[in-house]
Amino acid sequence: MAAPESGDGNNGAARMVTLISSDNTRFEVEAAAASLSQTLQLTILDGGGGGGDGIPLPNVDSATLSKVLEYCIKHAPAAANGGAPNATAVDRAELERFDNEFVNIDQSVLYSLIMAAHNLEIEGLQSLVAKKVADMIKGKSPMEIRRTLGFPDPTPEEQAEMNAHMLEYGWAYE
Amino acid sequence: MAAVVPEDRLSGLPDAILVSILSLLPLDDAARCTVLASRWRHIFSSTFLVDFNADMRGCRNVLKAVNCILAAHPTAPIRSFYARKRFHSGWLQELARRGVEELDLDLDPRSCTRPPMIRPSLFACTSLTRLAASSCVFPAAAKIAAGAPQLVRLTEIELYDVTISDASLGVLISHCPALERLSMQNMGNSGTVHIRSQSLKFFHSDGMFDELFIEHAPNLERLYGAYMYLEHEVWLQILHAPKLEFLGYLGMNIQAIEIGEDTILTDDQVQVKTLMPSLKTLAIEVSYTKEGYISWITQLLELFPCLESLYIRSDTWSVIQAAAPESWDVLRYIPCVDNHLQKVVFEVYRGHEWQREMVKFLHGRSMFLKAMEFHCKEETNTPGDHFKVPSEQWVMKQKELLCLDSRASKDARFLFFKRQLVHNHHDDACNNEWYKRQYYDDLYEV
Repeated sequence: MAAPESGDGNNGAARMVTLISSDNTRFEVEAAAASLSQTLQLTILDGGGGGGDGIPLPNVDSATLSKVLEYCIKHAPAAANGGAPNATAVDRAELERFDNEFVNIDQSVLYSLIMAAHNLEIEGLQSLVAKKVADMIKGKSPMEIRRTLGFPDPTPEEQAEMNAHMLEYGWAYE
Repeated sequence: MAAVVPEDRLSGLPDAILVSILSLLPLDDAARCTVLASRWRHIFSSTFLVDFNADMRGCRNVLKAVNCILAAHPTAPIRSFYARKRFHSGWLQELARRGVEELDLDLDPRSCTRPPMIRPSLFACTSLTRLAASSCVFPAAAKIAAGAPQLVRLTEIELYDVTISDASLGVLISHCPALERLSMQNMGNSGTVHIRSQSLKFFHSDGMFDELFIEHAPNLERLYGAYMYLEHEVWLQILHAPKLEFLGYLGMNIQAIEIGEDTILTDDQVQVKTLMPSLKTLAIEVSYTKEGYISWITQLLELFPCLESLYIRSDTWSVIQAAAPESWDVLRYIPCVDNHLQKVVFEVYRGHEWQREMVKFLHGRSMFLKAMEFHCKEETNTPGDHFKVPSEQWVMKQKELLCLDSRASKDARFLFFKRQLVHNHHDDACNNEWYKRQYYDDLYEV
């Protein structure tokens, strides 16, 4: 993880970078927080994103980006000291509480987050949202999963295919 | 099926994300998801079935679940298969058909009235490269068809708590022409074990045999029986193992050590003709309370004229007992001690007089000695004090008592460690990178 002071003589005050969402909103954040993204990390290490330039993110809208940054800002301090081996139990519990609440969101936001975490390669966020979806699936029947995940109603063709598979997977509904 | 209506958002996600989501689910949950869309089915069979983990905790009927998954993906290849507690022998045919390469059957003897049986259809898995099996029964030799296919790619077999007769083991080994590693642990007393293998390089075991007969093993490099020296009186015979470099642990409890056709070492018979010049490392247990232990050691060392490393273990837990009144006043020439020995390791050094005498003998005679290691442990009569680290003063005192100045090799180094050598040093630890890196971390600096 890049420490905030690494790089180019910006010691003292934390270095800031600007990110520009697909709908042209500018977000100014600490470089350390933005660097949780593997994709951004290299650009930032190269000195990008400072001053008036800003890093354009054409695949992420402002609503999603603000949510992503909320995660990054919260997790940056722990990440900066190498996964925080000396973080107190209280700190860890606080992060866990934050994470749980963070993914307690509308599904459309959740899917945008999944895509953003994937594109920006934010490891912690990727596994957090994947786990959320997995938890939504766990222990449910296929019809329940369809409803939970907001699949469209099956076409007659799909329904027939599903029925055939449900027969094979009879064990799953005992 | 390509749906024309806009796909749900989840199905629009890239494969990598779907895989990461499915991988967080137990296999049966993940399998159930695949009825949702054909794309999920494809992802499932191409990722999760390749390395099939049939350890589905929380699933009520694992056997049925696995059957259903196999039936639903009839053509998916399976590279490795891991079963825990539940395994149906009928799957072997199915796995064979799908080209299984690694089979890990970690079965549970308590889950059935009798231990699970491996069927001879194991030999249908001709793509196998590695077989690990625990807590099961191997088929009787007579049940294995004479014309059963050879497992030509199998290089590694690990058996743990497996009931297998000597005859079955023989059939298994003879069907594995590329077998390099064979490990047999926790097998109870295996009775007689007979090894004939053109390809075998490593044979590791706990050493609980009545008889271990290495009849023909032209490529065998390591023969390790961790507890071969315990009181079960193994009869060890090595007829043909011309490349053997490591042998251990030998001890006086071994009923007989035979090498080639005309060397035998027993309590009352010593005949030394065929020697084993290939051996580089020997690990022994010293029964210092037994009369004749010194002559046993010196006779044993004569069998290995080019020995370079000697590991010495002795009873570690009980308190000191009186050593047998023996003397290291051995004048005769012992080829390996005088001309080859480079390294001597006292796995548990407690500063006993018998140990000091042995040290003085070895360093006084070995002209090519490079290092002698003392893994120190202080004598204690207090139970629970076993892990006490001896003081630096104690080590200084030992150095004095060992007359290190009278060593034959002026280049020799004497290394004192703050703990005893780990028990599995020769088993797997010595190949572990972390273990190797930290090996010298706890040296005394005196």
